[in-house]
Amino acid sequence: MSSINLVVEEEVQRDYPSFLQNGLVTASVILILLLAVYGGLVYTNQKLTAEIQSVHSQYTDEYSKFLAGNANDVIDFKNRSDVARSLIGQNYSTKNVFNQAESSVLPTVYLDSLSYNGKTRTVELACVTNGFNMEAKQLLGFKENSGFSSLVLGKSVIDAKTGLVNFTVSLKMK
Amino acid sequence: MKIKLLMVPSMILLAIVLGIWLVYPAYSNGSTGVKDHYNQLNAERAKLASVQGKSGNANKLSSQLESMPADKDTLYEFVPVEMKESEIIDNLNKMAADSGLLIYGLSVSQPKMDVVEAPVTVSSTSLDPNSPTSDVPVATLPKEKSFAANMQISGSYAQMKSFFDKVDTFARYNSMATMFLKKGLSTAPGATGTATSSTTDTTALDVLTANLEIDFNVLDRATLSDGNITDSVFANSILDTKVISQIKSQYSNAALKLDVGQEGKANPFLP
Repeated sequence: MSSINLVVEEEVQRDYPSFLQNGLVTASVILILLLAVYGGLVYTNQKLTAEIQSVHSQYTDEYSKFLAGNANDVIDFKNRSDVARSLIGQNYSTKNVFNQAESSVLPTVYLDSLSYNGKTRTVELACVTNGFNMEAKQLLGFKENSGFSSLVLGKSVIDAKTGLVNFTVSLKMK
Repeated sequence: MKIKLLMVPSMILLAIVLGIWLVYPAYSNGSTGVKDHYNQLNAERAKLASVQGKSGNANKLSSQLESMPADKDTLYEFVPVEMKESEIIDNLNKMAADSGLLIYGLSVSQPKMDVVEAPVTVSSTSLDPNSPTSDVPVATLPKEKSFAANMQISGSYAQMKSFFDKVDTFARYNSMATMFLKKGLSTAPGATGTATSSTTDTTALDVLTANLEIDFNVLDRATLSDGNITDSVFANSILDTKVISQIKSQYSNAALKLDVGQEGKANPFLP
């Protein structure tokens, strides 16, 4: 007869290796920390969102006050000053036109007409004199005048009635 | 036992997954993370500080403006908001009369029409709290509009020069657009006195006739808007008023103020 061993073998209580124990603890701590960090981030995010709303609301109020306030007078004054400065800078006194004409017309020549264009700063003179020699001298006089930057000679004819030479010249002011 | 053995790597894996999918996005995901909100908050604070600074400067600048009403008037007369054509006619007439000139005609045209331009847009630099990042049309500051006064006058050369001197120093900005001076008297319709016949033999006389086109300007009021709120004027607390001194020194011929006087008439057709 075969014998049956009925003795219950005492269960051996095995301990986990220490590294496994430590690993479990560490992993648990990491997980808990991660969850805590996540919670902290969510909380901070909510606080930041609320603060952004608050600052934005303050900004909106200030912005509206600024737009509706007396800053309009200031920006208008500043713009007007800028425009005035620019206009003064590009202005050219008509006194200069007369001064240049007076200083360059020869005694033997007189003007029949003077036309000035402020946009192009050109002066067209219709001159009258008693000979082509004087006309040539007058042209040289204009050329030597430092107030003019360029000269274009126009028509030059003798008036049958008077026998005087009529010529036109276009001068560019400096 | 086997399950317990798998727990550690599983937990580490879970931690990694949580870190990547949950924790880091909560910190920074490009739009709603803590880091992004923190940057957004700093940006909002900077905008608030900026608008508060501008507002403070605007108050100081406005006080400065109120403390110099005469200087302000000088500038607003030099480049006015309105055409004030009646004042132009009155002043040119007075200047011509003071110089001894005869006036044949004096009229003022309307300002030239502006060219309609497509609005310029700007993005992200906008301070408008309602559309901080969207493209908004920039309302640029108004520009001056010019209009011409046409004048026909006659007189001697010296009288003409005297008149031009007065116009040059007129306290309202103007520039001579075109000027045509001719020897002799005008043949213009409506010319009075001796100027009825065609240019008579006046070559020996010192008589000139002039057709003038004098440009004046008008400038609409500038209003503050999102397009110009960042203007450099609000960066300082002191206004630059040098141009007013320049106007005072160069344009000393003060403009006359026109008074309507008595108004009303029982029969408007009677002279």
